[in-house]
Amino acid sequence: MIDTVLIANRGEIALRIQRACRGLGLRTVAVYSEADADAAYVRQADTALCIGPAPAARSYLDQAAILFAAQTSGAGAIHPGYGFLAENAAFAERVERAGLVFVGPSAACIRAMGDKVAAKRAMRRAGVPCVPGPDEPLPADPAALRAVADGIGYPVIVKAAGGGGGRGMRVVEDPARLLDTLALTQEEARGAFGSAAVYIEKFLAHPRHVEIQVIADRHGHALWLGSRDCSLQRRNQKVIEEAPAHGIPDADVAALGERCAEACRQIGYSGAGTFEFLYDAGAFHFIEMNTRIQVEHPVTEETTGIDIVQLQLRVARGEALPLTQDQVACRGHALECRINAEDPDSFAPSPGRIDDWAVPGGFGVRVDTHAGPGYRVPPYYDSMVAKLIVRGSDRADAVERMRLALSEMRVGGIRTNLPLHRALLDDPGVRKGGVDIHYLQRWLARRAA
Amino acid sequence: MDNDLIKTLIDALEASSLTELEYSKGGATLRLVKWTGALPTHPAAAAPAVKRTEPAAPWRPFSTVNAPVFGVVHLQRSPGAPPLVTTGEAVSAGQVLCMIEAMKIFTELRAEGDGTVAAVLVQSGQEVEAGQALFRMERSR
Repeated sequence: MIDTVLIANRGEIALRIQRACRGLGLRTVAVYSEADADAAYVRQADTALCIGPAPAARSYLDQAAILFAAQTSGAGAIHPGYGFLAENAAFAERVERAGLVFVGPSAACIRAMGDKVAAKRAMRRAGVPCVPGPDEPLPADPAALRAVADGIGYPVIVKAAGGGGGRGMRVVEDPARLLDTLALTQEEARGAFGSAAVYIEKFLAHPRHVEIQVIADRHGHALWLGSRDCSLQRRNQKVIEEAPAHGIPDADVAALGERCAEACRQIGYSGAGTFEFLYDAGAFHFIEMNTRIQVEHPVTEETTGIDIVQLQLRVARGEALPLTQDQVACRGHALECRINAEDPDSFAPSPGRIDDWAVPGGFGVRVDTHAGPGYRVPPYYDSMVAKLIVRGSDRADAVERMRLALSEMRVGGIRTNLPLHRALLDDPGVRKGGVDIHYLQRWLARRAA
Repeated sequence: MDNDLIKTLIDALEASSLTELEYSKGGATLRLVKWTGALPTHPAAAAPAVKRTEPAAPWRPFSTVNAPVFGVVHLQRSPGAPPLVTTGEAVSAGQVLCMIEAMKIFTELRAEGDGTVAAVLVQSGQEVEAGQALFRMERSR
């Protein structure tokens, strides 16, 4: 029986996991780098162990140090959060081999979904709709390659099989450029991901980013917990997320959700996961599966009333899912703004000491953050300092609540993207909803002009 | 009193708001006076700077290059690579002196004008505050 969980992460998600553990009566072990030694959540853990100096490669990515900390502290499970080691199959394997529970899917599942071509093949088998394009390794013969791209229809996109998160991809509009672009992407993929394998898909010009949250137990049950729209992105980094995806027929989302749950059952998935899709002209196209909890999970928690992180822990310790699909409902609408320590115009990072801090509150407002007055945002990690989440009776209500919450929030001493969020919540396109994944880049270009 | 110690004291004075610094050790005394107007033309000499009445020309051959943001300074492009600049090296305007890493973003810091690197005041991989002096530069006339 697991009674102690090591949290192999930092920042807001470390605190989020700590709270979920406490709600279940589990003891927590915080591991931290020297840069995070003064963080409040580290002090609040039942046990706290320093695992190395500030650079992540020598602390939060140091597998041996984390495993040693787990053994020393008597932790029975390791929750990886998101980022760092969350989708590292080798780490999951080491955790399992050490006789500990990895709070997430099996190493085999992580590995299969990490290979984008293998993932696509698995999804097709489960009837999950994919972007047009082959799910087999590409032929080497130039004429056969051209035939593949012609069969898909231009423009096509060349992607690294080991990539993801928007990295390692190139669009080809002109058939004459296909072979050059393939060679270039292969070279880059070899350098960046350690594998030159690439694949080709249809390039969708104006899609939305829509995703399905799933949760599966170790007894063959899987549920889908609704849709999210994360189309407001800058350089593939999500800025504002919402649940549910606005303006898509419920029946379409339900049909897709059921396919995703079925895919989980087929591949023997357990834990929380997200199926990401491009939504274009009324059709969904699978792009990748994230085999971890995501930053934006709170919008789904707010609309379903389900504590997803607690559910992760419960299925990790072997419990069956405590509810069935017909007990999962989506009520109202939720929005999340990622508050980053960065210049709202230039996006230059702005680490440093927070000397003024006021967070909004009231009905339907939630702030997930590890920061506070006097907190020094370290320069070593990502720039997110808080997630501001609101829920409304419908989308318009949620938008108005978010505007009010943003007007109440104050962060001084560092620069944040709060002014950007305020401007976006005033933008007619954002207020109307359903914008595509390039909307924010166009909006920023217009603003800069 | 070795040269390294004297250089350290010069840098300490340079980085502070003090105008004078006196240091005694083993019977020897070193007195450093910060020149608030123009500086002597050969200030690299370890001898104490002497106050002089100077011509009106506000030529300041020394300046510091400061960190624009709280972050980690990198004096080379990648671990194991040679340093971007070294003490005594002549640099030209726009040349990259170092990189500051903050939140996974690397910002290159470039020389404002032609000159010589008089001192490298930080070590690679060190955490630096916004505004902290990283290099002392001697400008070309």
